Amino acid sequence: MPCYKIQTDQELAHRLKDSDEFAFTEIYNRYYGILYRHAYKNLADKQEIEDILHDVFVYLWHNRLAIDPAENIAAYLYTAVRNKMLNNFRHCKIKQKHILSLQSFINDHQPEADESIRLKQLIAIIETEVSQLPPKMRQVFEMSRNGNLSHQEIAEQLQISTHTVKKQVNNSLKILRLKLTRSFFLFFF
Amino acid sequence: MSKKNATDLLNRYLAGNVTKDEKALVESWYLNYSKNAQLPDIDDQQLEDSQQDGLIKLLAEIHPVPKNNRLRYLGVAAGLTGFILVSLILFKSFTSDKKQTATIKPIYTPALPPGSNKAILILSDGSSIALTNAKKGELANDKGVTINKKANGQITYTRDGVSTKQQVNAFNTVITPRGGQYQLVLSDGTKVWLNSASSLKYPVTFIGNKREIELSGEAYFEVAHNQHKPFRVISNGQVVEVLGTHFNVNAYSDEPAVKTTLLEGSVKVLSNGIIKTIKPNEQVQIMDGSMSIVQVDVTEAIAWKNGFFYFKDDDIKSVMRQLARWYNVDIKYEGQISQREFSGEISKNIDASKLLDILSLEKINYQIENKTIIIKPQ
Repeated sequence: MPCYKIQTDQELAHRLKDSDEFAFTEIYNRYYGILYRHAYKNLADKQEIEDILHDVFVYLWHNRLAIDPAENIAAYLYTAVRNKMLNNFRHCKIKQKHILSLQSFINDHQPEADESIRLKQLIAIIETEVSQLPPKMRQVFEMSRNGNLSHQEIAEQLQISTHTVKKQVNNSLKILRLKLTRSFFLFFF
Repeated sequence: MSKKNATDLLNRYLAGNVTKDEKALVESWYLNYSKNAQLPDIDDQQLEDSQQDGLIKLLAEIHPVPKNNRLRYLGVAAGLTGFILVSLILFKSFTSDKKQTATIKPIYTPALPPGSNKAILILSDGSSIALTNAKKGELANDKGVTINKKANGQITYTRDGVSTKQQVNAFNTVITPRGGQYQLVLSDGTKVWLNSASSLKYPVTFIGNKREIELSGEAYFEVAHNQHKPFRVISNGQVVEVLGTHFNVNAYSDEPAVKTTLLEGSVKVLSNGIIKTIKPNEQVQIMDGSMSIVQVDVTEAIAWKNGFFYFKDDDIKSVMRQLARWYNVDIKYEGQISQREFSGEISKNIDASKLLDILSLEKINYQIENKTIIIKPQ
């Protein structure tokens, strides 16, 4: 089995498209913590947050075939959670507080017009929570963000043998190559 | 541009009916709002629990329930029976009183399929693997022990050529959700059948002079004999110690008694400083801190593992607790609860409504709403 922990989000997205549940589980483990902390900011209700995150991941699984692996999985999840939160704002107990805040923003503030800048800001806001995660969750998240680790370093951090890591990385490269070849053929025929 | 109404804007945003500027407005506000929100403390444990429980729930939801042909036929049969029943009732009402027909709603019972082999495995580093749909072959290597999934779904632990000195204590946990069960073989060759809504924590390899594992819920063990390393199962206030035998431990926290049933060999049961040794066909029951030994029919205790519910003078609540775990449903009671007792053996591989139909021959009244079975007074 490939080691999913050391795969990039893009590699995981490729596997997710192939209905690989391990990849799905790894994405879940990678993002659950920070999404939870983000949701907690505006919604201090454990049950509702769990329901929101459940829906977001069910949505990700059901839409896996439509995912473009070149797209950013993190951004995909973050915007999904944002929309779920906005939806929750409409119905929750402190609905009035949210609406008043939005109204005063409409009256007094200038929105950020550039969509890509807004997305970057959303990523930044959500990912500031990484440092506050329980140590294990933080490690899982940070490992996935650090592309510069050598196989030896990854192995040390994960306490598995270098040989296995190399094999696993090679395996995933092979799969990627295979995929490229396949789409290449599709292109020509 | 006139000032917009916040409620209207939010509603339209969620309906996807906004201009580019309006979209920017809502999203910018959300950024600003989240940035300034105060985050209360979150307990690390709470977060980890939510993550783990959430994964089980999630995997249970995205897994289609596997159906074999026999089940499908049963399903068709059940469907037909339902159709005939509805037709009969409608027919009867048509013939008896035409005015009433408009108010009669068709009787519809949602399907509640039986449980299946379903579990997640948590490795020593906290990462998890859904065992249900994992392909056969090597699943992982955890601290020098290879974990494999066999063609029949069972997972096995095999030590690599690492010397025992290098081995560290690494624990794995297998968790079955409600509606799931699983089988595994530990690194010493001990076979374990894990019932639904249960978990088993064990070292990937047994170091030192004992073999110790923790159980919550129910499991059946066939312990590999090793005179020099006693095998201990710790569960819900008791410890079972054996050298190598076949036995069943039922230690669900929502059951009134913890029951240990012996099929072969001999076991010692320790609880509250008292030790009892039992022989085959005997069962230790621990209830409210006191221990008793009773003679039992062992087929009753392990019926679950062989695909049956086995009831013997069980009251309705005890029956329903078993159904709740296997069909992943909640149970609600309305009105006075029947004092009737149930005895008998029923297959676990049938839809809940089918099983309830059999039980209702014994005069219980029920209704299924989503994932809740409501027991009504007669």
